[in-house]
Amino acid sequence: MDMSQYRELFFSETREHINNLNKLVVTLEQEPGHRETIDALFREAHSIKGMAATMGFDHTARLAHRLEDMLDGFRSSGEVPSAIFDYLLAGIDLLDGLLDDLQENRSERSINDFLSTQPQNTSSTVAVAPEDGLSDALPATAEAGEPDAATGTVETSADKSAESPVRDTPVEETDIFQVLIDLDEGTPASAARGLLILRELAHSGELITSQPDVKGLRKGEPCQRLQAWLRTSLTKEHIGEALRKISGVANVRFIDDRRNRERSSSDEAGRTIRVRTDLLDHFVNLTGELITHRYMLHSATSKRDWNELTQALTDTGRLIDDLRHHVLQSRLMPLENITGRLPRIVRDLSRKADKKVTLRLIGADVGIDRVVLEEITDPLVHLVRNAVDHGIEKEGVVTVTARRERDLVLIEVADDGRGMDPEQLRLKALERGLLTTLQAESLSDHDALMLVCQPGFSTAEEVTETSGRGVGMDVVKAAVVNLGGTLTITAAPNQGTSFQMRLPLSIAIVKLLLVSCAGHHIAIPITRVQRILDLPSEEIQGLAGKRVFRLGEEMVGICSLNEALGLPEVPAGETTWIVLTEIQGRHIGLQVDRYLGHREAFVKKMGFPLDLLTGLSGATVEGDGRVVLVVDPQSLLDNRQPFTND
Amino acid sequence: MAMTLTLIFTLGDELYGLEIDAVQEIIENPIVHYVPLATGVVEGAINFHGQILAAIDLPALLGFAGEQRDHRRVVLTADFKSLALSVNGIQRIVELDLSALEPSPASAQQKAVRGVAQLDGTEVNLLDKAGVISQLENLHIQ
Repeated sequence: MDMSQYRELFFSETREHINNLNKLVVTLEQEPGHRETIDALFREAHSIKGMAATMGFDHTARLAHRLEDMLDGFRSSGEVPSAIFDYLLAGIDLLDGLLDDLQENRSERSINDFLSTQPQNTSSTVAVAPEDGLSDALPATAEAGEPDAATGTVETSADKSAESPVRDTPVEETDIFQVLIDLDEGTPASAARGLLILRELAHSGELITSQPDVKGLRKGEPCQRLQAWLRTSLTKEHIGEALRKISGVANVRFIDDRRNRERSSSDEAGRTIRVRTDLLDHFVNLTGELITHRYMLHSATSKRDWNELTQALTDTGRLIDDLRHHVLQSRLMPLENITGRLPRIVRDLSRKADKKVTLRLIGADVGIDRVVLEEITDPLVHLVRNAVDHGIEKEGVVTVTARRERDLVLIEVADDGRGMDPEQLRLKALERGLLTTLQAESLSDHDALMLVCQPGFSTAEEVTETSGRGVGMDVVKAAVVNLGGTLTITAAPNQGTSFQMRLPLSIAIVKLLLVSCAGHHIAIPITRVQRILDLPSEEIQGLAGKRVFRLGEEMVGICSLNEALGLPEVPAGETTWIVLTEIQGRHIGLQVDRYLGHREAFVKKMGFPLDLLTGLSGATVEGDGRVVLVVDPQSLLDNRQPFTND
Repeated sequence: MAMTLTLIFTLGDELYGLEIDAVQEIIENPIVHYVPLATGVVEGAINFHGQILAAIDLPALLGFAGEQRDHRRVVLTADFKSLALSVNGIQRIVELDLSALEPSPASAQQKAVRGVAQLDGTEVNLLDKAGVISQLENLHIQ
């Protein structure tokens, strides 16, 4: 089967699981031995193992298997040694790294170092070493984690895992079966037969547990029916054949274990998204209403009743809006998917920097489009790192807030630390030659703060491990802008810093501003537009060979969209239409011939080689079939209006 | 002898062929929407069943002289890069033996020919789609 189409889904699902693992480990560390948390951890590791094995990602599957085994051990022992947390977290990080490798089409990194390190005090369920005697092997597996088990300490069983042939075989797909073995009625010495059967099973794979168990059988418990759970890579037929050879065995049956079903259902989940049933019901209702309205439209048309037609059209429009709203709703995922990893990050960072940082998460249940969510993950993590690293000095609170603001989602990362000083930023920009003295003086505080998003502009006096690597603020800003969002910064000295990302809920349907340039309709995403101005043409002045106009305190440069698009100039009449936008933190007035209105539209990617044109981000089709191009002012003007000297 | 259905068209005064399997549709007189910034051989965009495809002037791309163009366009299948190509004239669909292609002359290197077949004693250049795409990629359309 061609698995490539499931790759992306595998990655997003697995990242979700890793996310949960991290969160759960941090929770467990605060409350060791919490049963449900251990169970949840086990399930996460189990899902990753199953999915990775299905995809054929050997190392990932093996590592997840190891984690699963370890967690299963805690499940049976009910205890988690404190030394294990760093080991678990290291394993989770390694999983994350493996995913990076796979996602970038590298071969998976080695996991042998991790697998060969044994954390201290680990009580883990491990495979049986079949060459060992029955008395050694069975209790260790069947009752793993119980130090008082009949023979051998848990440590020895963990050591054996290194040599066990089952573990050393890389990525064998194993299944868990429940085996039911009936003995002939009146079989003499049934307990001895039972022990023999268990021994046979231990040779075929990993005997998880049995009923009756070894202890009971040793005591001579009669055994008419034996129930055993086996993890094995062998087929049922193979095992059944071996068992039936044992005298006294009347019947052997296999029952697939629930855990196998769990795995296949999580594969299924890789191809689907979770939709609430009430949402589905709503779709059904809406569809019904739409059908009714189709008949109303038909009837109004045949009667040529314009009033009725208009009414039916209006209603249909409302229904379609409603439908669209709910369809988009079904694509939303809670922000929780990324904020879930923040506790771990903050824990690690504050430990390293020896700071005491409290993380507060507000509104993690706010839904956001899957695509937007993926794109915003790294920027959000970076902002939180920044807050811990630069914002907080010794002790403080980092607050991540999410909430809906009409069509947008606001995600704010705020700290109560040292803040930023706009004046200092102005001086720094002057020093670096990013601004002239005149520009620096006219720069508003808001714009001065935005200077930190300039490539190469850093306010950190010293480069720490966290700030010196990974994405910088310029990358954060670019990611937000690419999604059609905006980034704003508020800060004052010693009053904390707040970064606000405003992001579209969905990126498929965009509000577009329609303008006319030399007779062509051109669209600009409304998220790129700050204002539309109709200026009396005499308000436009010349300054150093450029055309500018006054906007409050600021002189804003004008750029002709016709010219930028290579279209002929059309002389403005008494009114000059200006679309106010922001390029690299500066206001720019885009002059257009006429403002036509705005609409919501589905923006499509254009076919090759039109997709190579910089400055055009896609196109949309109007009701009459006309293709309208969507302009991205930033990339269109980037080369023409160099702001920085790079 | 395996025969392949092949669309025959002209570029300049040469005969070209393209396997029918590579053709999605031949469309009549589509509206070509002007795309600013794109120049020369990229004539604009076509709304092809809701997909937005590039309209390519194939004779101009491959350096053939002559102004006249067929009013129809050849849309390539989407398994490759989908393009709407204009040609000088669309002629007919024939069965061609493509199993024994002669190598194209060195002079045809820039003409996107992947081999030469025979049709009633006339030479037919088999269009090399990959060659067309790579010429478009190398072209700075902006």
